[in-house]
Amino acid sequence: MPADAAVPSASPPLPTVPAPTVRARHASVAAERPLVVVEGVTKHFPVSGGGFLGKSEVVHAIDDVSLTVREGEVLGLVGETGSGKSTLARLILRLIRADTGRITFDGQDVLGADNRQLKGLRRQMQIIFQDPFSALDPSMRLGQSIEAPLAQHGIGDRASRQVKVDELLGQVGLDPSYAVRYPSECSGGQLHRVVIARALSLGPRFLACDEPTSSLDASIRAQILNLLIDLRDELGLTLLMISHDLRVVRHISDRVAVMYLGRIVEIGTRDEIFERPLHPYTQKLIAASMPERAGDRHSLVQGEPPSPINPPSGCRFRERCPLAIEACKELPPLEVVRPGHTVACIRWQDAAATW
Amino acid sequence: MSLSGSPADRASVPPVATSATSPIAALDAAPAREPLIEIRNLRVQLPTRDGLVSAIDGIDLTIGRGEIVALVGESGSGKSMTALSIARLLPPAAKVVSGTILLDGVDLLKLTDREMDRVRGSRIAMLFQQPKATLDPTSRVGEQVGETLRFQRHVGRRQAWARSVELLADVGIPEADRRARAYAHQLSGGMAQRVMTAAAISGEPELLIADEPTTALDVTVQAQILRLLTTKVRDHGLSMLLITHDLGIVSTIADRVVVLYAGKVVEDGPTARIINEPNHPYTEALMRSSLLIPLADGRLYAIPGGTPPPGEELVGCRFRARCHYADELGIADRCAAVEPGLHACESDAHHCRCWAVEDGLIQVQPASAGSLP
Repeated sequence: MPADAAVPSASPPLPTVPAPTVRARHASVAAERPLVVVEGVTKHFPVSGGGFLGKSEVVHAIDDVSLTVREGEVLGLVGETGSGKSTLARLILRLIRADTGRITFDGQDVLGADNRQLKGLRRQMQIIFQDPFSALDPSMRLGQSIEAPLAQHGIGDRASRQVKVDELLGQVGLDPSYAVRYPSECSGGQLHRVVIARALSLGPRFLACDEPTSSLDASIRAQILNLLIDLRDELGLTLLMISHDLRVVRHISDRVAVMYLGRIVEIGTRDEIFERPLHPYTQKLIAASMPERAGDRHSLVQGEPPSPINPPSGCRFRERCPLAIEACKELPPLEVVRPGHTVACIRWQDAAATW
Repeated sequence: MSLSGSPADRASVPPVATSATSPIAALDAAPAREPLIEIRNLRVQLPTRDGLVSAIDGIDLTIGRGEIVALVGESGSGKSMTALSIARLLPPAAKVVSGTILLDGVDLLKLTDREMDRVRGSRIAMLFQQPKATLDPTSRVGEQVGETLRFQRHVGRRQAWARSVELLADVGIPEADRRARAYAHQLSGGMAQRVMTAAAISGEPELLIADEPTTALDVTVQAQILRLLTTKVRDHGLSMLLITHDLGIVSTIADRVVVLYAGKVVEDGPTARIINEPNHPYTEALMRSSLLIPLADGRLYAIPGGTPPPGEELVGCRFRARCHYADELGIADRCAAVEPGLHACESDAHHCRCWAVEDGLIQVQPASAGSLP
């Protein structure tokens, strides 16, 4: 893959990729400059079928979430179905609107942006989804799909866009012949590369990856993760990595945030989270998916996540938590308890002792 | 990318903790189980635009009574096709070209459709990846759990319902009498897989085929379902064919592992051996890439290249194009020309399909049982 992708200069300006900021993998993030700042964001979805005179119900998808993604870092976001991980990514890109709270991208207000400002923001923020088959139009050649965002934003002319498409394909490790293929002629791993190429076409600074490797074979998964890390290093991308696969998150992330039923319960550096998980839920999650890390000390978590329609009051994990006490009926605050480690649990010290 | 290395580097796949606490050598000495399923030389072809292509190309597979056999391999290797062949649920266009599938000595491929209907449910049951899609959305789950009893054992409706409730409670569904009245859409994925498990064991089958049974579930629920499946299989003395791409699951519950590559078995043996001392270069590569353990340069190991496209004429070893040993050992010509056979490794319980291993060119170094870093 070319280390610095040259952009043809003949035609109208194509998006230039930011200067390469190659740095050691998992080195401590030197620049702590916040790129995406989420403050007190809440998103509730009304549930249809509340009925005439029926009490209308809402899904508490995201409740009072605050989070910062720093420039150049990979922030892993983990949690189970219904925890609000994907909703959070969609809120940041304003694919859906938050009910309350504040979201900024590089200081620019995302929630209040008008259509023109939003178009500018979308050039800087992109998202890739789990299933590349449904993310690509089956009747469009892959080259057309990759070119579409460029055309949409009126960038370059036909010829220069074609050059850009070939260059993007090269960047994700595919040869130019893929431009004329249809999605049905490719494997899942190849389509994943195409989706990534399309997301990179506008030269974004921030890429949200929503379960990008969940549908892939082990070997292809490793290839895609390597590619994402290469792109991060070469293009200085900031990544939000959403996954329920803790091994993936552990490998790729600088910091990790753990969500449970619409709230962030723990956030910290990768090593803090995996070596010293302090929230009982994080501990159960690691014990369930990486049993070799927890040994026999941690039993399986009981039950299933409660419904986000009527989440428990106070700490939302308390009904499944082995350490829950009466005081857990009050909402625990997110507190910095160690350098680079924040947790929302009043019993974190007792939890720490069990690890 | 290449696996740096000389044959001596093979032990660099870190050992994985397995359920076996006894020394690995003891596993080889385990008494051979009486076979329940014996697949011999099974070939299945699928029609494509380019004509018939082999999905399964001569598979031999034995599942002993009470044994949990894991079938692993990449997409397109023939895992699911093998499972569907046993249950005779292959897509209509698929064609069994040759082979036998013996259940207790009776060839399932020769049974009439009616006879096969009686085998399904009462002797062979299946679990799928998407439990909610497998359940009938229009009928209460209690009815569906009792179907095998009603239609195969001719148990009355009322009695079948009562037994369904018992079974649902048995698979860990709280308030089973109330939940039995629920429809599929009212259940979570974990609950739906519990319901499917109850339905699968209702007919007291001898073989449970589970095709990626926990892939679509959350990790904490995955662990619960795996524990449930293992308990039920062990308690009832069932055999299980488990299809999965998750080697963590394999190491926890399987007795034996069969590795498929491009429609052929390339290695089979006791779980601890396959996981800790894989013989076949493909098994070794699969283990490495699955465990997501970074190489010295921080990158993840990925098997170079891809699986051969369906329809491609395969001569010699199928893994040859992706195998670095062939070139390093200077045997590439032979690997490309002649397909190796399945040969016994250190014991009769362990087989491998590789010239380099057969000729002792690759030294497999035993890794002591331990846990991941």
